Amino acid sequence: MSEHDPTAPWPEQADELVSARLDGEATPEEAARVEADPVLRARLQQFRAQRASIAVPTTLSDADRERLLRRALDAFDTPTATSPWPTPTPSPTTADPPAPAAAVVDLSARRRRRRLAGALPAAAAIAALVLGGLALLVASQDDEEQFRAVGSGIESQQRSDTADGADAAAPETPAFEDDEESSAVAEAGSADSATGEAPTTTGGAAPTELGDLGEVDDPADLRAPALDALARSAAAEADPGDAAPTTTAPPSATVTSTRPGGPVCDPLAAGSVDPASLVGEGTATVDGAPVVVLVVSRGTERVVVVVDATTCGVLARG
Amino acid sequence: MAAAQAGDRVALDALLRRHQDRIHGICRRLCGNEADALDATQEALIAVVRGIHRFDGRASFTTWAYRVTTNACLDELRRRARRPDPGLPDVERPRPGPSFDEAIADRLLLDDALAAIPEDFRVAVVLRDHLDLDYAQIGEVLGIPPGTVRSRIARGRAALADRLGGNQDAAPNVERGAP
Repeated sequence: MSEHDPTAPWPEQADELVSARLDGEATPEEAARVEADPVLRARLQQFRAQRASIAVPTTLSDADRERLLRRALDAFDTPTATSPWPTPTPSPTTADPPAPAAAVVDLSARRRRRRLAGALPAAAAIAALVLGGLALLVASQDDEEQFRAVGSGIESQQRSDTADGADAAAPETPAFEDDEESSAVAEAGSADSATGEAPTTTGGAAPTELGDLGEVDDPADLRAPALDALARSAAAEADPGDAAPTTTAPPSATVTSTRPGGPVCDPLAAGSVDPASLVGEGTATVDGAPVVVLVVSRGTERVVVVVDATTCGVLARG
Repeated sequence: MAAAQAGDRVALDALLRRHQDRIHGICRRLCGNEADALDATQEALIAVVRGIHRFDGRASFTTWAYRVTTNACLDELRRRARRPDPGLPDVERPRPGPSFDEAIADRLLLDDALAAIPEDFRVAVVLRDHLDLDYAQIGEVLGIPPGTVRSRIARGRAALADRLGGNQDAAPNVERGAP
């Protein structure tokens, strides 16, 4: 290339040549042309100075660094410092204060909403029993022992009706029905768009109810029963005549009796798992304490997460 | 990497720490100011965390992470563009001095100049000049052929030189050439 007229417009091809030379991406012939032309060499120096300026490392304060990391990891998992079990893979950020109290919600209230339709007939039946019982009590002037017998019958009927109502309502009820969980799913979709990858669709379906998985001493021992229950449920859906649905498993007296209506952790609200990847949810008891067992999908793999039902701490993941 | 994908927080923490400075560097150069860069870095780290189980290893992790970061930064810039202008008074920027080297030494001028060039060019220049990726790697991050990378970088650098006053009207003055 011959030398340039300083008053002529700058040719775009010349910049590409110089730029490639600067980056070591020019052919030997192209490099030789740049070196032979003083105007191109001057342009090369300009680009080199620009590059040096852009290459100056940026600085991130320690406070910002830790804050950014903590928030990113919180988006992934939220173990709490109050968990009685050691987190399987603790990180420096686990020493941070637990998630705000707002993350702990009354899970039983949400489930009551889901089961409302099925529970209404049961409530009517209970009311009729109560009235009948009271009428008998007044009429016969029975002693207190007889009154207890009627009350026991009412409680038994209530448990039976509520369980039936829940079983009937669960399959039709969407897993994420309130605004909080819907926004969590939407947020996960937004992150997918940021990655440029198609979002997974597992979050769109209701997670399978795994029922009560029994009592174990080690939370890691819940992996196999959780996956078995999930497989049984899948088989039941494929052929309802062959496999018994997992939701027919008898409820665990241990779990329900240890938290009679009190506030429990909502692992989805607490961010213990990504709601979009949740495929199954059940309960169990670990060493006498109630836990929530979540099965999440990671690609083709199923990961079982055991969360303390009271503190929301992650007890096992694998 | 496998441990981080399987949900090991320690592994994930280590992975993020290893790449955090470079992720912030991309965001700082693309966003043009520290406040937006921190927001974009946060979004990028969260996107990495939430998407890591979908990383399939076809590209290197750094390539994938830079792609996620670039997308997060551009999303942040678009969100910023939709936000109402806070109405802060204009800051008097120093004008380019007679020396090109002096001009580019001014960080404000560089930020302004980078922010003013087209997005496609800016991303290519930053990936090249800040991260020192080669054309093939940049092409992999952006999903474009190396020839397009070469063109975008050249045009970005030329636009940057225009903004910084190094090529205002015509070809550069030969006398102001190599040191």
